[in-house]
This record gives sequence, C-alpha cells and structure tokens, in this order.
Amino acid sequence: MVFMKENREDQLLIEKILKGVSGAFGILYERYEHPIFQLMYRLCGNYEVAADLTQEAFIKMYNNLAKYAPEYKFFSWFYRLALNHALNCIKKEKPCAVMAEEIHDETVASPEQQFIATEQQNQLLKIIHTLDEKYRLVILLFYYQELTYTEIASVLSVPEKRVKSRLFTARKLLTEKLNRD
Amino acid sequence: MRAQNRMQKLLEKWFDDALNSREKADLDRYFRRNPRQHKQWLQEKALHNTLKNNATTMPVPERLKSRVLQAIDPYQYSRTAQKHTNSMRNFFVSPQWAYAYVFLAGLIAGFAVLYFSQKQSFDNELLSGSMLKNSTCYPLVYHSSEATVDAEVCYSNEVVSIRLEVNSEDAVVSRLEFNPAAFSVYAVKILTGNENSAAQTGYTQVSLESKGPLSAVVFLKMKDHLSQEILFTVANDQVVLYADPIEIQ
Repeated sequence: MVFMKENREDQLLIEKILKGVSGAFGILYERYEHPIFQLMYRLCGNYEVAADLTQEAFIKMYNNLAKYAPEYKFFSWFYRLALNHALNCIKKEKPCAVMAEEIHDETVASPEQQFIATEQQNQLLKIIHTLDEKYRLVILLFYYQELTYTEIASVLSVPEKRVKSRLFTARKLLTEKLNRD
Repeated sequence: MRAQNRMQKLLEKWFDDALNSREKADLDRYFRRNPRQHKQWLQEKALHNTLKNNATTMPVPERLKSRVLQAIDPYQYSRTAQKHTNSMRNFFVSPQWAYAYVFLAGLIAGFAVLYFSQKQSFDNELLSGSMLKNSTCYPLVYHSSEATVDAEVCYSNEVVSIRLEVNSEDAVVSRLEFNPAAFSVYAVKILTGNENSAAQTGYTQVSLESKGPLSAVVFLKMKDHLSQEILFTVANDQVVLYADPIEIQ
C-alpha cells in the first residue's frame, strides 16, 4: 500500500496532533481507517466486532501517540499496536465468529461469478483461521493487507527471512488442508 | 544444505514471479527430478494466485469515524458544536431571514395601527355615549339648598360611565376621583352645559379596565362653599350608593 510508505506525511500529522491542531487526527484516521478495519475484519470475521476493534485501536493509538518514536515507521508501529490489541481482545473477550458474514467482493462482474468467488473466499478464510497464529498473520498481512515482506517483518518484529519462510510454510499447510477438504 | 537453501530461494522467487531465465531453467530441472513436490508447489502457486487476485474488502462502517473522533477528543466535538451553533446564528442573520424580519416588523406595525385605531374608536364611542345604550344605570340624586345634582352611574362591561347634571348656578363638577387609583382611566371628559344657562351640567364618562371593586368620589365645587362629595361604589357589576348625600357645609 503506497500511502503506508509515506511516512513523512504521517510524521507531520503526528506532530500536529501532539500540538493540538484541530482536524489533524481526522486526516490520520482517514489514511488508516480502511486497512485497519480490513485487518480487524480478517482477524475476527465479524463486522460489528471489527468496527469495535478498529475504534479501540485508534483510541489506543491516540492515547499512546506521545510514546511513538519517530525513527520507526508509523504504520508498523500502529499495525503492531492494532494487531496486538485485536489478538488480545479476541483471546480474552470478543467472540470471534470467523467469517460468519458474507464477504462483499466488488471486483467480480457477474452475480454468478461473485457467488462462486465469495464462496471460495469464505471457505478459504475459514481454513486460514484454522492455521496457527504466526502463519495466519503472515497470510492475512501479505495477501489481504497487501503488505510487503519488509513491512510484515516490521509489523511482526521478525526478520524478513522468517516472514518468507512462514509464508512458505503457511501456503503449504493451507494447500494440505484444502486437499483434505 | 546449501543447495536446499538455494532451491528455497528459487521457489520464493517463483511464487513472486521474480525468476530470471537461468533461475527458471534451474527450477524446472528441479521440478522434473521431483514430480510429486512439483505437483504440490503448483497447487500452492495456484492458491497464491487465488489469494492475490481475490483480495476482497469490506466497506468501513459509515459512522465509525465520528465514533472514533468523538471518543478521542470531546473538546474538538464541543468546538464543532460551537461552530454549528455559529452557523445556525449566521443562518438567522442571513438575507433569507432579513425578509422574514421585515415581514414580522410589518405585521407588528399593522397590529399596532389596528389597536390604536380601535382604541380611538372606542374612546370616541365612549365619549359620544353610544356605548352606554345597553348598560345598567343607577340614578343618584343629590339635593341641597344650593344645588340639585342628578347623577347617573352606568356600568356596562368594563365601562363605568358617570353622568352628572348639576342644576345650580353656584356648583360645577370640579373633579372625579377613583379608588383604587391604579385603575386605568381610558377617557375622562367633563362637559359643561350651556354657558349662558344658569345650570351648569357636568357630563363625565370614564372607562375602566377592571371589573374589580371600585369606589368613586365626585367632587362638586360650590361657589363660596367647600367641595361636596358624593360617594358610590362599583362592585360585581353593581353600582351602590355609598352614602346618602351629605349636607353641604
């Protein structure tokens, strides 16, 4: 995602937020609203819970903004914060109805194709959610959040090499599960 | 081990479609030597492509932004609310509202004109005596050696009318007082009779705002005498003579 690489703009916005400039947080919110909500939805699979988790992640980010170290990329910091918050919440309190809802795919043309694609996606996501967390996360971040290896490494605080090997293993496990089903 | 690592790297590049021709040839040879694994990697590649090409998105809830902003900065929202109030204030001083204000002012002026014209008409009617046609009247007669005063107190709705006829060369109606004084007096007019006539006729009409208890005193000024008083009360639509005529002192 191109906007995530625009760290300088994020830094300027953060400076403004910390100075109390009105409206700066709204701009930052708009830059990350979509990817964070998608991430939450992929992690949880429930639209309402994903909305709650997104809201909580933004509030947490806002409250911890003063602790953010500018030498790191903001998106990595925020993603990690959001990811940890979501995983903790899902484990502790939020019920996670995995892909209980229909996925809206706006890229498919005909209703028939849309139906097939949606079914495939739902099936695939259900299987992804059966993977171990470390494999699940790389799949979600790489394919659904469209992060690069470097970005995933930064978010998960692991070497890039490990991201690649996890992704490799995750695909293998996923294929095996799909063949079994 | 080294060869295995190289194959792993080649496979990763293959997944990303980043192989050059030499690497591609090497991997093809490897696939031919391991047909079973090749089949599995093909499946994985297909899965990879499916995942890559079918990235789906969910629409973000519409009210999520306002929820987040409201939760993080209530002051910002109060400022927004202030701005909203200001914009409402600006709306009320906008040109559209200027027309409304002009219309309203016209309406008030119209009502004022109507009210004063009605009042004028009421006063005129009162003074001409036409308002007393359907009223209840109570005669009061006062006799003394110097003068005879025929008084008539009429009460109609909220109007008290007092008519005094003083048959004396020496007596005139000097003033009329009401108690309580707080009652608004719409019109007071003291009419005198024909100047050439020996008799002085005082004719007074008074309009009052309230039907509450009222007492009135008519002062008769007698030539070379002290003023004489005639007292009566008006209460509950009844006019009652307060006291018998008092002897002129």
